[in-house]
Parts: sequence; C-alpha cells; structure tokens
Amino acid sequence: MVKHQATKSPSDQLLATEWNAEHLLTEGLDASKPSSGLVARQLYWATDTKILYKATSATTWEELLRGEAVSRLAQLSEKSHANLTNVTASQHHTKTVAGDINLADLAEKAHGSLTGVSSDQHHTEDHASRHVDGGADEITSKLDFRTMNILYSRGISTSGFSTTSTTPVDVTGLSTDITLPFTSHVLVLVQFKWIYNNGSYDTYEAICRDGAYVRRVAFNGTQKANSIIEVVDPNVAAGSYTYKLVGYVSGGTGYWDTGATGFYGEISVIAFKD
Amino acid sequence: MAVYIFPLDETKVQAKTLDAGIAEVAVKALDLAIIKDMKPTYRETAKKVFEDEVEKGSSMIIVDSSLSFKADDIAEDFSFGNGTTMGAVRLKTGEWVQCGWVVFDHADKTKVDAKLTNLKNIFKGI
Repeated sequence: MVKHQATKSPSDQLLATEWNAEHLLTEGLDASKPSSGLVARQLYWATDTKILYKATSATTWEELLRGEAVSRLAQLSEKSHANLTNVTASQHHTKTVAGDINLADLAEKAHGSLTGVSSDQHHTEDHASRHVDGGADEITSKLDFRTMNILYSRGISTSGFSTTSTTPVDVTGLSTDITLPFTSHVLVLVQFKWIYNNGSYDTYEAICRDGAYVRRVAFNGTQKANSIIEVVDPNVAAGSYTYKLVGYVSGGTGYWDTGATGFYGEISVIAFKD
Repeated sequence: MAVYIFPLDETKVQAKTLDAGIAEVAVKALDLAIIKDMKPTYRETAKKVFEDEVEKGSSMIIVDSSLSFKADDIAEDFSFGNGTTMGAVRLKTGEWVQCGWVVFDHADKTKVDAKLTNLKNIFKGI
C-alpha cells in the first residue's frame, strides 16, 4: 500500500491535519520492503521485525525506531556486560559463590599484594630473639642458650721452655682464663710438640685450676714424648678461673719443645653446661 | 727466697745452645747455690698455692733493669719453681715476656748481687 505517496501534499510534507485514511503507512515484512525507487523521507513499517524505516535515498533505508518487543536486551546485538556504563559498585552482584572468590583462582594472590595487614596479624620474624636470654620464650631446659652452652678459651706458646726446678713452674704460654656463667664440666686439653729430660729423671707436668692440681702426668728419661694431657674437671661452679700448665723435674733438665708450622704448645679449655 | 730474672738470648735458646740446664751448670760454677739443691720441695711464688706440698717462703723477685716489666707487674699466681728456668713470665696483663730466672736462698743475696753481671751473661749465653 502506497496511499500516502499517492496523495502527498503539494509541499511534499505530511501535515497532521492531512493524516487520514488516505495517509496509511506502508508496511510489510522487513525483507519485503522495496529496495529501489524510494522517495526520501518515505516510511516503511516492517511488521515482522517491528522496525520503522525512513528512506534516505532512492535505494537506502534508515532505521528510525523499533518496537519494544524487539528492543529488549536479549534482542540487542550489543548486550554484553562490559558495554554497560554507570554501574556503581553497589549495583554489582557480589561474588560470594564458592569458586568465584578462591584465592587460588586470583591472578594477584602474592602475600606482598595484601594490604591492611597489621603487625598483630603478621608473624613476627623474631624466632631467635625470642629464645635467647631474656627473650619472651627463652629456653631454660638442658638446651639452654641463654649465655651459650659451650665456652672456650685457650693459650698457646710458640717458644720452648726448659727448667731444672723440682717444684712446679708455669710453662710459657700455657695459661688461660675462663669465666663460667653456670656450673660446668670443663674439658682441658694440653699438648706440646714433645716433652723430655736430658737425663734419667722424671719430668712432670700438671694441669692446675687456680693453682690446684686437676691432673698430673710424668714422663721418664730422655725419650721425647708427645706431651698431651686431657682431663675433665667436673662440676666446676660458676665463676672465673685460671687453668694453666706447670712443669717440673725430679732431676736434670726438663724440656717442653715447640717448632714451626703447627708445632706449638696449646692449652684449650672447653666448658659444657652441667 | 730470691728469684733473679734476666733477659735471654732468644736466638741461642731457639738453637738449643742455651737452656736451663746449661745455665744452671754455669751458675753453679760461680759458686752460687740454687735453692732446689738445698730445699727440693721449695716453690717460689708470689702467691702460695701448694702450701700442703711445699715449704712456705717469702717472695723476693729481682728483675733485671733491661727487661720491660717490674716485679709488681708479674701475675700474682705465677710459679717460679726452685731451680733454673728459661721460658717466659706472665704479667698481670696476661702478656708473656720471654726471660730466664734462677732461684736462690735470699740469705745469699749479697753473694748473688756481687755476681749479677756474670749471671746476666749466663742467660745471654756469653
């Protein structure tokens, strides 16, 4: 039906007052709308797609509007969520479904990406400081690290020593002080390159703690011997002590020799907490 | 008792051409009596620590003026024994100073003092 075109006004404008039975809108299936011979501003109503077209040239149509039934979101070609604008945070659906918000599913899940974590919520890096003397969780068991379980001191000598004394003489370099913060078992080790006498006499050496013998040994004659002595001085009360080596002879001259490259005399004192 | 302390010729000590036994022979050659030969259990020390074993004695320590320390500098618990020794003495600071010493009866002090140069030479290996 092209009645409107047949009875158009002289000015080629359709006035409201002219709208009557003679001015019926051309309609039909969308696919059936004419594709040529159109007159500009000619209208066409597609009854199947509910679209109103206006001719813009002899061969082209322009969509003016479409009916509500075909303009719902589902019918729109542009209907993705990302195309929506002006949607506020409160208008979004919160992701509360398990699986939607698992940390493992997030691309950004490093600990360093977390914010707003207070010091109370963090694990403090204080393992060592908590267990030392005075720490919040100091260890007071046998594994007592409050002042160290094991203490060590030593004295060395790189020069030889000889004596004819028949009573104890301090052997050069072989003295060391140690302060025990607790009752301890003290291991004392002494060694020279060798010890000997120039005659058929005894040569003695002794480990002393504050002048008192802890261990004595004797060597006889001119045979050069390794002078090692070791002793455990048990249950030594807390305090400061001097451990030293003394030497003497029954006659002749006693020698405590050192040498180059490690052949030195040494007294080592190692204390273990009781 | 009297402890006389002298510097050593360290080179000769290292070469073992000088030791306590050699020095003692030389001291005796000066007609000086070393205390161990009279009192073999005597132990000279500024602080008596083995009194149950040795005779008590007074401490008279004479340090040769060429040495870098004085008698008062020596650690109180240092033991000199009763014979001739070549080694080092421990000072109160913990430092060891190489030297040699011989212990006499201090009743012989005048006699010993008269031969100080000879004694000093003995410990230098001269």
